[in-house]
Amino acid sequence: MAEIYGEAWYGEVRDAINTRVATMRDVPEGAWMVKIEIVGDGVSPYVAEGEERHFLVSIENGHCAWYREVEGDDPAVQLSYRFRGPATAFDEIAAGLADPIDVALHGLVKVRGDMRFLMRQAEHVKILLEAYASGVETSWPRGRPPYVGDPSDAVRA
Amino acid sequence: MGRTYDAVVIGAGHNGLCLAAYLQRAGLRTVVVERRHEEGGGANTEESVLPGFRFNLHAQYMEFFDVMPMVRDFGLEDLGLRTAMPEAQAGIAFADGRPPVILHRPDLSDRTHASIARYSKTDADTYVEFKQRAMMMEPQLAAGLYSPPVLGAAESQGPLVEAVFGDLGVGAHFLMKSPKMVIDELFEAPELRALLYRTCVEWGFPVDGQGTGVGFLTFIMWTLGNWKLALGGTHTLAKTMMQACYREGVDLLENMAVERVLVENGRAVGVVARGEEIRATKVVASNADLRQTLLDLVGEEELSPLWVRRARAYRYGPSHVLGTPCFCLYEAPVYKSARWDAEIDRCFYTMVGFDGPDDTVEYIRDAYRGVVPKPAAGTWVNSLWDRSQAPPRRHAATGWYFLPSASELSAADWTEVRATYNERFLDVWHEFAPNMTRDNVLAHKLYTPDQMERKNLMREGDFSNGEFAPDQMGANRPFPEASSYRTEVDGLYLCGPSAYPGGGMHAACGYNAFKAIAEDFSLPSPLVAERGY
Repeated sequence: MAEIYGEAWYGEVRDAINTRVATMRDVPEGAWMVKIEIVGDGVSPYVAEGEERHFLVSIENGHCAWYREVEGDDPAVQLSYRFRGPATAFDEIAAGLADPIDVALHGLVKVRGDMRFLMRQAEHVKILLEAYASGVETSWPRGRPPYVGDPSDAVRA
Repeated sequence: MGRTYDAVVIGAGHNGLCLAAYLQRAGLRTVVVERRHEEGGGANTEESVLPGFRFNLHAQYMEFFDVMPMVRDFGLEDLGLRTAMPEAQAGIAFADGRPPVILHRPDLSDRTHASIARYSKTDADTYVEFKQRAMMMEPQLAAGLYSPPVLGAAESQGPLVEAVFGDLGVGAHFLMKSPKMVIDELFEAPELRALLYRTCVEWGFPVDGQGTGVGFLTFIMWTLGNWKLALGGTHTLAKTMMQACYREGVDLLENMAVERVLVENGRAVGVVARGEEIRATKVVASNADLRQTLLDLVGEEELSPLWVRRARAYRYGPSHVLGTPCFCLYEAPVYKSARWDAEIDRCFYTMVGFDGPDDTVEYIRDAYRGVVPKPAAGTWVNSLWDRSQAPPRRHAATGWYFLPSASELSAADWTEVRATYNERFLDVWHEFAPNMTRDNVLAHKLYTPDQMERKNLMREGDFSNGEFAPDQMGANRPFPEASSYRTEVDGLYLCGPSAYPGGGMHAACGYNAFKAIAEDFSLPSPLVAERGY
């Protein structure tokens, strides 16, 4: 069981995505660079308040080619999508407690990029999100959502 | 002996071509009768100033190709429809060299955010969020566009906008606001407001028109920045639609002005064009404007007093009345604002002459009240992306002025406008882009609303052929009794922009008219489950 946001965890998410994509009939062609920006919100114990963790994910022909943790924006990298939101929101999605579509629709996680394309790739997007939300066994060494109260409560939860 | 078809379509504008293609495919022998020597109506591109410089005289940007049924159903791309989609889509430059505001393609929303954030981080966040939400509504908005209007649809927009934007503070009461009110409430940067006001007017939503503000949140925010350039000019769309018609077996008759619609025993049975009877056994559909169709071609004697009154009361302009300047250039404009962001020099659509929101509002209000406004324009230099639109090392720039309705000025006044307005605009343009001197211009020409009226029968120069106001939109277009594309004359249908949803290169009037006709004659439905409309 891999620890949330750790290298092994992302590796398992990637494998889960690729396993599912392999069963798709119409895999979208092309390459997309996706950045996930997880912002410490004082509740999630995995990103300290005021700090941010950024991950770059490369999607090629529907498959997750690689991911890496990065710092800030690299002007040389042309992003296709940027997902930015509070750590608790991402934690809850990873724990299968929040619907990622709902979270995006209500602006908790901000999405930048061509939404029309995402809407047209509904099957693929669903697979990506399912893999993220429920595709791997996740360990939560500092507590798991739902969090209650302040961050110290979260650690005890 | 005249000719006989199952269906006669009056006018080869893009809506007429769309309807004809679907009718023929559905098994009706169809003819299109066109007054001009050329098909396409407002989708026309001409070398109107100097050879080799192509100008779109009406329709400029194409925002519906991705959802337009005919593009897919008839394989228009296989027939030669090609497009480019510039990265920087809509921008505003400033005479004092302030940073431009540039709205980019949907896949480049980071750049849009960065551009707006030069003035207001809050506005940048708000704009991007609203844009994303509106884009997510595309399936619903496209289905609404390509379906006949439903009574009560306007009211149902309240729950819809609340569902999509409610957590951002947008409630059903926004339905009653004007675009200006909505923009002013959501955005604080004057530079962004100036740009957004103008984009509303492009779509015929008057900035002060109460009850149309929700159109900004849905329609404008959906389409803004999704603009494509038709390579070869917008007439390429008309050409490929015409090719599709030919391929289906439609007959096209050009240089045939329809003089009247034949009505026998309350039923439309054909038309008379250039003295010849062309009979229709099932359908006569008119792409001409409402008054021309009902009052001139059918005649009051065939209509009830109510329909005569409605047709007479239908309004044209002032909200969509354009003048199109055409400039043959040595160099494309280089803006002062480019020192902040060079993309403004390669922006698909650049607004020039507005230093702030007050300028934009004053400009629009002047045009609406019949006063020729201080020169300003939205401009395109299509040759930046399509070398076929200008000779080598030269550029073709065009634009849209908003001008008074054709009847507001005398013929002599319009002649004066044509003689002087481009020169006055050049003086303004030079303040924004110093290389836009007279030496940079080989030649220029202005195409005015009175000419649009004569050439394309766009009444008053209104390219929507009917004002966009709550009483002439949705299920009220052109008037409630005629909003189903059917008329009170059996067999006579409306398929032009006087019908829902109005003007624009979406071909929805023609497509929806086909749906109505298909229902009446039990023709195969064009509905495609995958797209849902």
